[in-house]
Amino acid sequence: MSTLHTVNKPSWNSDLLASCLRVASAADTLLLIEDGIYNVRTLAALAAALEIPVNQLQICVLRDDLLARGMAQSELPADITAVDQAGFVALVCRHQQSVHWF
Amino acid sequence: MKFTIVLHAAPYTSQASLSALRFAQASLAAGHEIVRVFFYYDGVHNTNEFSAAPQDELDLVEAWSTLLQEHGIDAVTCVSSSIKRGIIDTREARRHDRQGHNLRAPAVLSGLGQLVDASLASDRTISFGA
Repeated sequence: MSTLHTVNKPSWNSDLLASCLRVASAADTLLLIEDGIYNVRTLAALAAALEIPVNQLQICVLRDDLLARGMAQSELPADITAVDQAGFVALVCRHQQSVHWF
Repeated sequence: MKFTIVLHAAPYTSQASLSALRFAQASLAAGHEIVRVFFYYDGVHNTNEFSAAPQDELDLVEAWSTLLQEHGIDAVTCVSSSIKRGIIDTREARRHDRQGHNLRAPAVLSGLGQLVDASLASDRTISFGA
């Protein structure tokens, strides 16, 4: 059973991303929303520090929240995809369950 | 698909209310059904009729009320979360001897059972919090 995880805070002031990465499995998707967007810059280093392989995890960001924080899609690492609001809804449908980390 | 949306956060304090509103709009636009929106904990402030936003800001309480009414979506404000936060309907105003009441329609005050009931009737339950 695959799970959609949403994370809405940066890893510099919360443990949400670390907690999420510890339980996420390969078939899951991580969607960064709100201030969770800032994790695009630190996610790889955090995962490495925690010794959690994230290469099989699909990682997305909510485009509206990305743009609202002054970041462009072109700045995203190659393994991170931007989705719009309709894409968020589609991700919810595609996974059997959702876990919302906030 | 059928969705239940749970909102745990107050408007203006964090982005959660706006995130949930946008998700609700996008899910309706994609042809999905929202079984119920449940306003929980500080989320009850999204149904405060006495809240009024400046003219150049999005009025989230108004936006929620309009969306729920236009699409005939069932909305429940958690009764035990709301009374202690000062969101009351006419019945609770009488019961607690208060001068006014401020629950914004179409939301109604009810209990946590309504969240369980909605989740059971839905394919997905999505939560937004601060």
